[in-house]
Amino acid sequence: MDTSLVIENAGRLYDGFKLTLALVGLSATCAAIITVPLVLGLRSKAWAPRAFSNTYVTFFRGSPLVAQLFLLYYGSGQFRSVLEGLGVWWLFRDAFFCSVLAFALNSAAYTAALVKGAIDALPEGQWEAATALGLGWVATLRKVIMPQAIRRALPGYGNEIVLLIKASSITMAVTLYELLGVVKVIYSRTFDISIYIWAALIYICIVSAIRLAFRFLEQSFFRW
Amino acid sequence: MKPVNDYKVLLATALLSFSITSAMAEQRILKIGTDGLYPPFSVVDNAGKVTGLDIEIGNAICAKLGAKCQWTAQDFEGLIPAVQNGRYDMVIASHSITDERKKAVDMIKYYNNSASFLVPKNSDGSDLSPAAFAGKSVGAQTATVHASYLEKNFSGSTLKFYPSQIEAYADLSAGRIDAVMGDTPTLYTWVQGEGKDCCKISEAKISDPSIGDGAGIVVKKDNEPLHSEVQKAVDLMWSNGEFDALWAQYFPFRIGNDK
Amino acid sequence: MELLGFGAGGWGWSFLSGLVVTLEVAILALPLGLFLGLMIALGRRSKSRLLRIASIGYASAFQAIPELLTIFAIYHGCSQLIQLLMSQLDVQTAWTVPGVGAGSFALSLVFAAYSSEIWLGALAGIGRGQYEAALSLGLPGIASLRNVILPQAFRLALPGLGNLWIILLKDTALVSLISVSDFMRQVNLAVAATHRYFVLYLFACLGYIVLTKISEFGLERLNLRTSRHLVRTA
Repeated sequence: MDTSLVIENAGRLYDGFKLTLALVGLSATCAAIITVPLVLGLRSKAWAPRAFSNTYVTFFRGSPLVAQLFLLYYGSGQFRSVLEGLGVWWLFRDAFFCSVLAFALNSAAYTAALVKGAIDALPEGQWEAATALGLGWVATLRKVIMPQAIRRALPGYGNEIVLLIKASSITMAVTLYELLGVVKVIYSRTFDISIYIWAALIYICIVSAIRLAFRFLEQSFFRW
Repeated sequence: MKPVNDYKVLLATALLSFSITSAMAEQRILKIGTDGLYPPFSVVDNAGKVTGLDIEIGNAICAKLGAKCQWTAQDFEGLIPAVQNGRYDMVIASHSITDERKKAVDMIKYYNNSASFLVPKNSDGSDLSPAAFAGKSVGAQTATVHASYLEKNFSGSTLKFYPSQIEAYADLSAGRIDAVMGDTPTLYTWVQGEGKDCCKISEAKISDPSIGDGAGIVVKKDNEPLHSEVQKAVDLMWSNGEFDALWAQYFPFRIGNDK
Repeated sequence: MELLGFGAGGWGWSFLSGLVVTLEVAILALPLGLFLGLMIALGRRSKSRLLRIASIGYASAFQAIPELLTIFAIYHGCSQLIQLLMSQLDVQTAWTVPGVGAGSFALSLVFAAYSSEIWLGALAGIGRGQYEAALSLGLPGIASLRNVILPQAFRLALPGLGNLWIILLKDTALVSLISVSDFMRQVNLAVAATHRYFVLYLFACLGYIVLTKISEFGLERLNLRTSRHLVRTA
């Protein structure tokens, strides 16, 4: 296969690659933070937080990410004065932060459902044993439940990161040209279809690296 | 005009689109692609029908060729590839005529165009030099001559490229970007309507060889006799005043078609 | 509300036709997606090393490549390929892959990769005895697969396939980027005409949520039906 197309555009492709990583890295971190209150809400005994969390999860899991991104980016543009009043317009003004926010909100819904599933799957005895040992609720969660739940949720979480990498390609619709966006621009200039095959290979490499990392994580940190 | 019927037609074509349409119709049909998000040249209405100045021009050309136009609206970026691989017989979407495009397809000039910037009302639109926009952000539609022009000359600005003009307008009125570059007529339409409170067209215009020499109808390379037939139809429309009459329905100013 | 209605200024009919196209793209992707997925699952269980590697390669590749990339590549690539083939054969043709077909085909390739995992799990869930019983009845390979194994595998695979169907429904929104007139694109067109960004995109999200909720309900019923024989009535 002809490599000149890739070599000529190496700089652009690298910039796209960096943007993909930045989008995914930051979104995954923010998603992890949002997940915590969401899981607590899903498992809450009180009606209001449970209803809120369930609605949240239903909304973000039930509709396409691309629609959510448009809603957040172009929708927020209509409420500029309100958002300025709240002092958060700088965040919505920027396509990158807007995309990160959309991805984080979306990913948190999936991750929360995943973590809740993992906690629910733990036998009731784990809680009872911890209580019998005199551990408080926070300590039980931190020392007993979470390590086990994380181990269960880890493969699913790996999949979630992979989905984020793939999903990041839609940001071209809001002017952010990450890896696939750059590839599309190259195609529209050269009409050379082989650039898509190169892009596919790059994505396969990235995803394989993520999968290996997660397998390593599963085996080394949670070996007991 | 009953929108319901158009909807039924749309439904039927959608359902049939998977089968290869092979039946030769009695009348000659010309498949034409256009943008659809480019007011007032092409817009899709709520009945799924494409309308606008480009469509009226195309229909007039089809009438002269004894053919019926079959319109499809799609993303601007994919229009030239679609002509190349035969998806459409031609594309009428106000494409600027550039040497780069002429390498890939044939182009028939149908009107002169000029490029300007859209800027917020209170700002100075008399200086469109890269220096005046250093550190600011400027938007344009992807795969247009404006996008290439900005990329080549405005390295000191943050550049934003949108799938269609519409998104660029949205970001300008929301204050996310400081200017939008585009064809003067389409920018004019927007500041007459939606954008009249926020923005204006720059007093200065941009003339640069890379912006291209007028707007052209796109046909596949060496597609004869279509190429000369369309050329003849366009020439006729200019000589008998038909083009000016169509143009006047949309714009108060006239435009020429220099050879 | 007038905006979403079916009156003269409303986009109701437009949205409805978009929903039909969305469902069309998703439903058209199913047969090939399911069949190819099953073939890949069988390939991964095959005794042939080559077949195993190819199947695993396919499944992991299409799970790694963004759906949008597959859609772009099929949409632009297939037309180029057909043109090339036809010009080799000296046939003049203007036939190109329609957007709906390209979108469905691309999504079915992705669906196949994910569904192969589900089929694999389902096939593994069927007891060895079933294969042996079919064999002892003298059923040839294909017949035992079709009459004994698949009906049982389908029941086991159904919940997983149901999840994939819901993912597929949402992924169809991506075909709007190749200008297929699906629900998402109709919303984009309405936005372009009316500039009601927030309301219309919120409506788009809710539209898809309704689709996924209806699907979930339907799948639950289907699940109950297929496992009816497992429920003991007192």
